[in-house]
Amino acid sequence: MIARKYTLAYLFLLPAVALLAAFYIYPVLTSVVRSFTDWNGFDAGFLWVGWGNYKNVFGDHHFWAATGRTLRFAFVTTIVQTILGFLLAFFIYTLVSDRWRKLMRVAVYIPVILPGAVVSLLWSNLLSPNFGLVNEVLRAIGLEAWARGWLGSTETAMNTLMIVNTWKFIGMTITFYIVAMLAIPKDLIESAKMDGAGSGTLLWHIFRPLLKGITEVNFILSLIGGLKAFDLIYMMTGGGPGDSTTVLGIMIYRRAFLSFRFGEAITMGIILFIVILTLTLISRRLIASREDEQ
Amino acid sequence: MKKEMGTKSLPMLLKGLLLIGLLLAAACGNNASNEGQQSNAEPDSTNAASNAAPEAVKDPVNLKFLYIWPEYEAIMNETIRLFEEKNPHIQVEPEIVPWDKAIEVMQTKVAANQAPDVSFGWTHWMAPFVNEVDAAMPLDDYLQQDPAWEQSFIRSDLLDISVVNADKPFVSNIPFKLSFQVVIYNKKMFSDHQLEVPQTREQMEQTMEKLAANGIIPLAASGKDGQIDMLKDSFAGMNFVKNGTAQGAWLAGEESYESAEYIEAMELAKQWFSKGFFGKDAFAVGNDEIANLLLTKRAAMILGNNNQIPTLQEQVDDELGAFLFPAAEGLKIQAPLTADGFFVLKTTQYPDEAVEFLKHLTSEEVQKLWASQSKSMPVLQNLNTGDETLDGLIDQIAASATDYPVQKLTYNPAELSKQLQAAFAEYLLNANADVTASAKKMEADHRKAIESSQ
Repeated sequence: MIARKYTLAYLFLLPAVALLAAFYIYPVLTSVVRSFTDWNGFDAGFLWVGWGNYKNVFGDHHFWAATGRTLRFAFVTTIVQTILGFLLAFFIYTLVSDRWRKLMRVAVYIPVILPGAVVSLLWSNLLSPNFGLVNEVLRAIGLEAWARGWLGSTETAMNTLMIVNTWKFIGMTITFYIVAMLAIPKDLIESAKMDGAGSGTLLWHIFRPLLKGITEVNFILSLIGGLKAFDLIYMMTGGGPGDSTTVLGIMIYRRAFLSFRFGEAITMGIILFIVILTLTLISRRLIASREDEQ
Repeated sequence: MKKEMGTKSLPMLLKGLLLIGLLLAAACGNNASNEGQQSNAEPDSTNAASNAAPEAVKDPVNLKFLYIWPEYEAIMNETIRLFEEKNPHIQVEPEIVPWDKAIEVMQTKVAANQAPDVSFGWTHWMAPFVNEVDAAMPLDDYLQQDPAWEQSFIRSDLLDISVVNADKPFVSNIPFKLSFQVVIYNKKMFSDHQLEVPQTREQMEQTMEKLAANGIIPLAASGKDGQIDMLKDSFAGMNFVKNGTAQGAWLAGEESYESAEYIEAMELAKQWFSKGFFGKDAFAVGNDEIANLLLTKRAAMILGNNNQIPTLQEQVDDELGAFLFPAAEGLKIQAPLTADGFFVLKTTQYPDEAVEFLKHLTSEEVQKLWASQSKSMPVLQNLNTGDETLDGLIDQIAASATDYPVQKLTYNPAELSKQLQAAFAEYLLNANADVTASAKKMEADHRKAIESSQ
């Protein structure tokens, strides 16, 4: 009887489930299977290699170096983006002029909706050692010694990419924080102010604890974005100079489309997925345990 | 009422789903059967059919053709029109892809059984279509059947460039227009500084010293896009030829990066890099910015491609010239003879017609058309463009050495080349880097790539 009752509902669900299965579940499962093969990405045929791809990947020093760079990129951008995003959101929230507040909210979100390719071209031109605005400005204000090829040195390329990545995505962090700030009861803030709380006190004792949930969301989203970073880096430095900006995304692309070892590339993708999942779970657990303590 | 609607709608929904399922199955079935026909069709059977009735009315043929150069679409359309005029039963269906995505697009098309009949490909970069994807049709038989066509090319070794390796020793690509690295220079800047076109690498070094002393970037080159790395490799190649060691392991690309020839080449490149010959921050600039340095007259020479010359010339009032990178004293220039070309896909149902189209593309008529309208460098002998710079290069190519040994790699060098470039960049960028340690690092990656291909 119950089964009959839900038949129609299940039938309505069927197209969505079928699409999900065909375009999401099936490719994921196929990928896992193909990570155990020597598939070159194009031929229908392939051989079963067992754990061979995993052994190759774990035995490749380039992989470990790329993993280190990826983690550094992801954590630095996440921490900077979260802290700076929180402060900027607070600044925008406290702006007296409603017009300015709205303008700022739109302005900070524009980079988020710009395609990665546009942002890469924009910043590559701004940072150009010969014709770039950044160096021109530095020279104009007497800081000629600071002018350099920001993307052409192994010492500055990665940090420069982190700044560009933060610039692109901080708008999202700010927007989430502002929405959450607007949900804080006004009377709570007013009463804190009446008790003499300044901006610093408000920020630390009212906003920070009340925005823990959104901090968790921002932190995890930024972390996932940082770990998956590819387009900005690929277009701006291609992984160079040297290997200084070769992150896992770049390495996976090269292994698949330059070496045609899709089996190994998929293996790296699966390892990256496991890293992302693990770090996300750890982050959630850490944030949740702190909330419990408080 | 609700119950009644539910009981009525359920069978209707089931019928609808069944109908959609049938339509999908039919569509997939058609597709699969078409693919089967396409991929299973033996080129020989089609040959036999077309040879059996040469005089009969020929069946209409639709050739799918993939190429790059959206900027030359009008010229290509004219080229196709001329071909269709001579072959009324053949219709060419062109598709343009961006040059930097050509290989990926083709590979995807091959994987999806949607490969064209004729495709663009670099003569020297056919490994992806011969090794990894066994997609290119051997063209030797067609060339041997038509000696005039085979012998029409500018240099006798031009066709051999597309022979990928010893296991598959066949010509896989027909060159269409020459495309190779040249030094593009500003003639006025040269005359202002009383400089002549250098004939040897030693003279080149002196020229660069003079330009650098005058605050001009002598030879802007992109470290980011691997130009300095390529220059180092050409120095090394010359060293192997000079020492008589361009044989054995070298021919298979298995020579050691720790060899004296490579070490010497790395040191020379670093010496030039440290003197600022390639410009400050060479690793922060790509090919576009290199071109801008020439156009803004901050650089007197750039490492570029011959196809860039007409476009660059349009943007600058000073006259530009070009020459092949000179060889070391006592050696003949080793012209890096590479070309934009086309190949026939193995899966084509119309191999004869596809080859006929290749012959048309390399006919004198079409080569002249492209030379006059796009300033392309023709691949045929004795066919000048009327452009002094381009014709000068053609003469240099024709006169350059054909007896230099050519490497046929036993492995896919693509990802390795990125790793080697990276290690070499680190060597250049670190003033205190030790050349032997860097070479050892490069050799470790090199050996690993060779081993993993076996």
